[in-house]
Amino acid sequence: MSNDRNKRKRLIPMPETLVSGLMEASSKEGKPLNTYVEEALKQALRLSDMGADLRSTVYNFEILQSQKASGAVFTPLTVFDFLTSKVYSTDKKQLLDKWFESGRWYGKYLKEKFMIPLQALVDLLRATRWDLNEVDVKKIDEKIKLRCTSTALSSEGTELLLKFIEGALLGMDYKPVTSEFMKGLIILEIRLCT
Amino acid sequence: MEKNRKNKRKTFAARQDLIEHASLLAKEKGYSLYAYINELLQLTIEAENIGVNFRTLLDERGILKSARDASFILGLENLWYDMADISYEKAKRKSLNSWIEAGAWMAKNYISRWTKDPFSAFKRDLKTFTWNATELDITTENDAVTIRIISPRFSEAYTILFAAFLESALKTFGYNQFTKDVIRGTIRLKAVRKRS
Repeated sequence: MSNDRNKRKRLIPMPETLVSGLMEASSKEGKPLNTYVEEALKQALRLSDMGADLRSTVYNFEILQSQKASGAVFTPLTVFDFLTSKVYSTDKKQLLDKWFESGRWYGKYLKEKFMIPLQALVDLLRATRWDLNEVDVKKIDEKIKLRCTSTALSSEGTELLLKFIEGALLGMDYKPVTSEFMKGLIILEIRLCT
Repeated sequence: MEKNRKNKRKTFAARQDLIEHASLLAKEKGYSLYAYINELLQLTIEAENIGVNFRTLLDERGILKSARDASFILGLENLWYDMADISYEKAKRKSLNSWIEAGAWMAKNYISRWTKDPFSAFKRDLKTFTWNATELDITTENDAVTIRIISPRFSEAYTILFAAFLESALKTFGYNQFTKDVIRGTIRLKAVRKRS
C-alpha cells in the first residue's frame, strides 16, 4: 500500500532557472535529474524534521569551512581566558601586535573569499565568538559604525578583540576614524580607504 | 518535464509521499507547498555551490553548537600557539594547571549530562574540535584507552599543554595508569582504568 503511494507522482511547478540549476548539479554528481531531486528533497526534509533552519544551516557550514580554511582552531574558553590574562600581564605590547597582525591577515583572507568582507567579518564574529552578546554594523553616510558588546569579556579580552578587528578592517582596506573600548564594549567608526 | 513558456516555469514530477511530507512542513512554516519545495531545492543548489550536500550538513550542523556547549572558543591557530608558548615560558606550572582544569571541566561536563555513554560523546567531540591535528586516533579496548595525535604545526608548549589537558580529562573519566610519549607535534597517551 505504502509502496504504491511512493510510486505515485505529483507535478510541481518550478522556475526555469531552478530547473537549470538542478540539472547542472545533478550532472556534476552523475545522477539522473529525477533521482538527484528526490534525494535532495529527502535529505532536506530530514533536516527540517530535525528542526534545522536550512538557510542558516547552509550559511553556518560555509562559515565553519572558511574558519577551518583560515586556520582557526578550538580552544577551551577557560584556557583562552588564562592565556589572555597571563600573557597580557607580561607581554602586553607583543600580544596586542600579534592580535593586530592576525586580524590583518584574516581581513585579507575575508576580502579574497567573500563578496562583502565586512558583512562576513560581522557574521563570523556572531557565529563563532559566543562570548559576544551583540555585533552590529551600521552605515551612516560615508562612515560605518561597528559595535560589539559582551557581558563575559574581560578588559584584556576586549582590548585584544579590538586590535584583531582593527587589523581585520585594515586588511579589508578600511581605515578607523575613531575607536574606543571599555570592558565588554567596542565601538569603532570606520571609512573605506580611497 | 513540461515547459510552460508563458511564465517561464517547468513542471517536475515528484514522489507523492515526499510531497505529502513537504506539505506538512510547509504548513508548519507558513509557506505554500510549491514555494517551500522551491526554497529547499534552491538551497540544495547553493549548498552544492560551496561543495556540500545535505548529508554532510546533517553530520556537521552540530559542530558549532557542541563547541559552544563544551565551552570551546574558535581562534586563529598561530595566535593560540604563540600565546601558549609565551605563557608556558613565563609560568609553566600555572599554564599547565589552566589546561588541566579545562580537561577536567570538559570531562565532567559530559559526565554530568547523564548521557548513556559520556566517554563516547567526549571522544566524538574531541575528534571534531581537534581539526588542527593531521591525525587523531582514539581507541578503547576493555579498560584501556589510547590517544594518538600528530600535528606538525603544534608548537612544543602547545603539545605539552594539550597532552596535560587530555590526561586530566581521562583521569576525570576514571583512568588512572598512564604511559605517555609527548614530543613536539606528537602525543601518544595510553591510560588504563584500574578498578580497586
